[in-house]
Amino acid sequence: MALNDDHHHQPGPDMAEFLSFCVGAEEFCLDVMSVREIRGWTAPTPLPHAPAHLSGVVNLRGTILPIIDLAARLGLPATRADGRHVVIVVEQGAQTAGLVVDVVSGILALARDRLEPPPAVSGGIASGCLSALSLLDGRMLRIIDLATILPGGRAAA
Amino acid sequence: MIELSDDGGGIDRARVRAIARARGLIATDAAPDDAETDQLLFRPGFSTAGQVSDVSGRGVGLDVLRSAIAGLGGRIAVTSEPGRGTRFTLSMPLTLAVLDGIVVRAGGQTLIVPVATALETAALRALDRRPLGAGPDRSAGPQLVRMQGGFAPLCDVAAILGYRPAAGGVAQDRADDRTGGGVVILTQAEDGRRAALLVDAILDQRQVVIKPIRGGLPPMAGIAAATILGDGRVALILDPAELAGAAAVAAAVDDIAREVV
Repeated sequence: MALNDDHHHQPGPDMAEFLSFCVGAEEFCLDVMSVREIRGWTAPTPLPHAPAHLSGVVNLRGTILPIIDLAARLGLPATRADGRHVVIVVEQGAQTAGLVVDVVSGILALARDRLEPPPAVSGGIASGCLSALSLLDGRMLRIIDLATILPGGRAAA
Repeated sequence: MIELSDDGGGIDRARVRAIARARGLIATDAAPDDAETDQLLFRPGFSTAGQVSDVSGRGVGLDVLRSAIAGLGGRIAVTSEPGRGTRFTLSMPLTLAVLDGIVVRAGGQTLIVPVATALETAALRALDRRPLGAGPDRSAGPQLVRMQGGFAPLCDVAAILGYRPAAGGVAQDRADDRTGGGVVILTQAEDGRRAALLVDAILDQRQVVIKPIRGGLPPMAGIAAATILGDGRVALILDPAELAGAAAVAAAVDDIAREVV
């Protein structure tokens, strides 16, 4: 495979698109296919005895949506969320949840063969929550494994 | 509305009356009209079956069906024409998910207590309140209130749900509070267990639509479901019986913690 940095062409079958966003000072990505919508932050209703990263639930057009503080989930200091924060509504199988992030930065297209499996290191921020890594214009992209983030996912079990 | 019909022989009302008389479900001299006769099919213990097997013919099926439908707020009716067939009509409420609720405030959160579980409300300071435990630290232990001729455990909703620390036992900090000390809602579960829920205030009574909490969250003790209030915010619906259980667990954990210390 020849390395080529031409990532700006239209996504084809070997291309995948990722939504990039910031959590604190850190940049992460999500497969765009799992993103349902992006909305402004509203104060969630806290749940009793919930883990620190589960901020509560909000009303999403009549359904009740769990809100996850992605920073707390990834081991960063918890977000003091306010109206400037953004909630990424994600879908994984039958599960839907909202992830609180600081800011959404854009959509990136990446060739699938440039995704590397995350190295098996333990400890540190976000360890065990990533599905892939990639390098784009000198930036390391960390792609989040939704299954480990969502309640009832592998990490919660 | 669900209708189930057959084109069989219809209900043999003479036989239904005869069986009902023989089993003592109606008086021997009673002469029920056709509609009343058809209602006998739903009586517990009524069966037209000649043979009783392990599962069939015990006169349970339609009775259970009717209770189950009534439990959901629906009705079941049967009509029959001899020689033409029988039609069962099940009418269910438009949605299964509407509940009469008391809107309360506890620990800064808005919560819903199902009206069906509530027996009485009272101001905490007007109640006879007793500590259950003995010893010097008795006021920190579980507390009982006397309501409707019996003792009920006092459950500080905000503390049980973790919205406010349970500092020094149930509502200890508010015992000296001259501003009122909260409102108690006495609830009774289906099995008869009572719990006195202590909340900050009763705000309203209204019908709410029950919404499941999506997203694969584990079930939460004391929370039955959620609803969406008029202002668009989510409010949790309490399960008083489970809440009392959760309080018992919390108290037991506290006891263990004290013993360890």
